[in-house]
Amino acid sequence: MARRKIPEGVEPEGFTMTPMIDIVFQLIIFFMLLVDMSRQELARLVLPEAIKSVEDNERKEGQIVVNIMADGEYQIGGKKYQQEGLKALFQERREMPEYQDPADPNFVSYPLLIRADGAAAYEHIQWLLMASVRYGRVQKLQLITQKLDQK
Amino acid sequence: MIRRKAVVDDKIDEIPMTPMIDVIFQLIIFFMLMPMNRTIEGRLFSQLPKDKGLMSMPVSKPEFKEVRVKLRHNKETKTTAIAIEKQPVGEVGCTVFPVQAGSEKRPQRAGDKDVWNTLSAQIKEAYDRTPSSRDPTQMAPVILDADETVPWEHVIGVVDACKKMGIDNIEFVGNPKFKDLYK
Repeated sequence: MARRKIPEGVEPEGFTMTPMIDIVFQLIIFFMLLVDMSRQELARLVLPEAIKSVEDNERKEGQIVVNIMADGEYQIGGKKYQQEGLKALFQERREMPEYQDPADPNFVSYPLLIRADGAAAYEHIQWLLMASVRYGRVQKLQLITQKLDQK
Repeated sequence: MIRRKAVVDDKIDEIPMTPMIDVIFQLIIFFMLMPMNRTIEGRLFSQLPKDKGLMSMPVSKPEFKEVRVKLRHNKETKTTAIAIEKQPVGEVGCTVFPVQAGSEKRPQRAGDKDVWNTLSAQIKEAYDRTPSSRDPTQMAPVILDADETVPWEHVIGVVDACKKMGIDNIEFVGNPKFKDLYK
């Protein structure tokens, strides 16, 4: 009687986990890079600490995040701005109807977020505040700080 | 009797190393990219007054009362003197210092925490005894008068001290140096 031979090249059935783990890590790294790239508008600087700052990651319509470095350099979305550039930006936005405050058309509705390094001299922030009012008719202000737990 | 020959698969004893090395590299990249000390950012909300400053709208009743907090920075000692209505509160040192590639954080000086706590208490006291001239049912605003060299961290410290006491009515003094903005 002929013996039944097990055909060659037939692998035992099983569920291989290694490629699945591989793909999971690929996805994790992808989403981490995606989140990192989306935070480009946040420059690397040492923020001052505040206990009473509120965690609020909600993005307001039309908001401008101005980063002020320790040497007083202004950056918005990774791009450097001089004072004249900022004035022009504020003026341009002031003239856009979608940014006018419906309750008071003399002012704009979007907030100005100031994200300044703790070592930055106050004069740079002072200039920004004054220019935002003079050229941008900004009324809402948000100061970004490092959230500190109350001790 | 028919003997069944055991089928021996030589490859069962070998562990496939390639996928394991692949996973190890994935883990290395994952932990390299994972931020170790991510700071949580928060916001201090404020409002720029419509009836004062560069684009002030005319109002029937101007505000005459205020609680003025003055900050004066000493570049040599890297400290900022704080006073409320000309009464000195204390001096605080810097914790953020500019370095070649940006800035770095250093520990707070001993005693600075007490100065900030004293400031909070004294601001609250001054605020509670200063009603607004425009509306006596409200309190007068806290005016933050800092010279241009004061580090931003100290300005935020004063704002935070006010917020701790429930004071949201904070105003910033403009700088006459930027006269072109007044045109």
